Amino acid sequence: MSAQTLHIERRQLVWRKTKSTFFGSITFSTILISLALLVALIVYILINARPLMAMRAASRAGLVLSTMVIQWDAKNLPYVIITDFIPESAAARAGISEFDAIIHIGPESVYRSAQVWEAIARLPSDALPIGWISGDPSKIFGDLLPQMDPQTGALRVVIDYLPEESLGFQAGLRPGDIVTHIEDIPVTGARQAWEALIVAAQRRAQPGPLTVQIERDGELFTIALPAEQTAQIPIQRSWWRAIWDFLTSYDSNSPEKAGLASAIVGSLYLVGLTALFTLPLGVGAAIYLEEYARRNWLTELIQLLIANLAGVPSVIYGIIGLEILARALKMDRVLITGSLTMTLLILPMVIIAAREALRTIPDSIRHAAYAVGATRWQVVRSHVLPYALPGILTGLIISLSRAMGEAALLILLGAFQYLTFLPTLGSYFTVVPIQIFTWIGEAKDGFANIAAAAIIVLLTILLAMNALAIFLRMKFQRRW
Amino acid sequence: METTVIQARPAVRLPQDNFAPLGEPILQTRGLSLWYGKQQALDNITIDIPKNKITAIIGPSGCGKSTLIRCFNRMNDLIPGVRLSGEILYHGKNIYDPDVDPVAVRRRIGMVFQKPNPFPKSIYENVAFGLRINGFTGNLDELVERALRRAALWDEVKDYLHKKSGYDLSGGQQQRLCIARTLAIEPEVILMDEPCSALDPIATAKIEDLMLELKKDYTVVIVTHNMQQAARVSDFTAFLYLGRLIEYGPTKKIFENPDKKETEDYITGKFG
Repeated sequence: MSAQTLHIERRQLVWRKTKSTFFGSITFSTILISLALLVALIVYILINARPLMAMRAASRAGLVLSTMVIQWDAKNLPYVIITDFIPESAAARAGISEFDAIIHIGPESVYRSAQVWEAIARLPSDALPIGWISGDPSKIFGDLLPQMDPQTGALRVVIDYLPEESLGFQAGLRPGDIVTHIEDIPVTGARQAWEALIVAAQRRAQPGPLTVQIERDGELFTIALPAEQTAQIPIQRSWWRAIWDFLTSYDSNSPEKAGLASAIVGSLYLVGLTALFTLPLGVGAAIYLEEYARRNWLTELIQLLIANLAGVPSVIYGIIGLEILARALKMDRVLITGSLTMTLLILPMVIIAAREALRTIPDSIRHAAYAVGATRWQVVRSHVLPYALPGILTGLIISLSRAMGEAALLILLGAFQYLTFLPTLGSYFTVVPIQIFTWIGEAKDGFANIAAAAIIVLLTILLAMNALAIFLRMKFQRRW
Repeated sequence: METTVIQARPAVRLPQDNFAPLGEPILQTRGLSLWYGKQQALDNITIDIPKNKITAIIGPSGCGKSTLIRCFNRMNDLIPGVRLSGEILYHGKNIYDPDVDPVAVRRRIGMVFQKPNPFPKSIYENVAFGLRINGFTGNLDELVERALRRAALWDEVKDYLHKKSGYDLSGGQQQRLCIARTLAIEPEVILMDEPCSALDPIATAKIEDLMLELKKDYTVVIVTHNMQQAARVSDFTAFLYLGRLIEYGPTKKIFENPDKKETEDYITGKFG
């Protein structure tokens, strides 16, 4: 070998090494970046799901909240009310009832329900110090009557009737008093008087009496009105309890009470049924195509069609399911229709995966079995199918994971349901991805958080399915 | 599927031409030609395989020796695009007749392949499979032991029949396991397609000893590209070249005094 050739070879070696380093580093960094993005995404979802525990704890204590707004000087001032009265709850025992406005948690003014949940999460003890104003203005002011000032023509309100047990009476208000200001806010109407109380109370650093200016017999008086009541509400904070509640309750208008029960049962039913339909059909088709069918133009065509079907968007399958199964065959948009449509979607993928698995079995094994007098079916049943089973199962479970995460197809099929029962084969249904989709679209505080929690549930289910796939594979592989 | 029992017919007496006394022929081909698609692999082969003898088929690569041996138990049926003319008589019955079940043929004419191909199952299951699917009744353990003993493998594997997979054995042991698997269903003819090509000399020697042992009860047809092996073990040797049977006769004659020039050139290593 001359020095010249040696030189060239060395250069080629250097180039080869550079090339492999270059592509290797690209691959490596791509994987690293995707991994980092994935981790970041999961962390983001986890952070978003964090309020779940506080939400559940609040709802168990009877604090099912809504953020409302007061329109004030062309501004929207948010405040928090109790939207759902739960008798026998801790809040109910403390005297809080429906539509009461929550003003303070401890020394902090609250404007949105998320603040309440944050406060619960940060609480040092299991007692929530809460300040609220009754949502029933008559308990404070009795009946207010709007009036026109005879001299100025301005609107004002007069206390028309004031029961003795009302807060106003106890603070010194009497029927016939004209309420002019709450703190420095002029009072112009009956409802507005209550809203002025809320706004004034929110401005205070902590719960306390509000000054109310009144005109009595032509004279001005200032009265300290303890409109805001306070109590310590016991809160049970437990993640286990929160997760259990979340997984076992039905959907609701309140994010604190909404749960995944119907969606999870719907998803499990759907995936289970789809597996039941897909396994025999897919494996049967794969065995026929791989082991029995002759190679001719017809099988070539079938192979081409299957490969193409695997690439058809799921929405198309949704339309097929809706028009043919649900409407033409009058099956309605029920769970079994959904799973049959899902079967159509994943069948090509399962067939392809199963064929690949069958193809990995070497012909020498088939020949060995034939040579001892096995029939074609005996060869398939005793050898080819058992050895290919790990691959087939892996393909099936990965396809089912896709079915589990599929939403578009089922939205078309009307799985977009508000369910407060567990779905059965012949009932309307919903699934986890669609539940997530629905919740993310809700404007109300808290739905985004439970959507994040639902995403984690979905990811956990998918992870469990994949773990099962790996486990099955390893278990079967040991027999080789 | 209804299986056809291949009836034993009185064997046709062979014309005593250039090959020496053959004894009773068990397999006879008559004008056998075979095509893979448009390509002809065998051309008008007529050969008689004698009973309880070892017949070697030699020839250079691609001459059709594997194709020929695979015709004897209809393994070529499994390859798409194979066309065949002529006859193969087994006990005088053409195994390619439409009323013959290839499965029944393979039960009577077993095969050992070039590469050891045990099933990825336990040693026991490897041997028992053939018995099970053929509906053998009786003591399966006994039959498995007998097959393994005949394949000279019993002493090496008897302690882990169920524990070890066929794949845990060495190459030579795997090949003997494949022979045991073939022997288990008691065939009449054993076809061996280069059974030692993937084995080391010691394992090869063991298989060769085994073949000589098996000759007493079975008819063995072996394809080999190892001429020393053919010379060592076989009673009769057929030389195939380009799909045609060039010469067939007692091994001693083929190797020491061949009639045809091609045979002599091949034996002496001028080509191949």
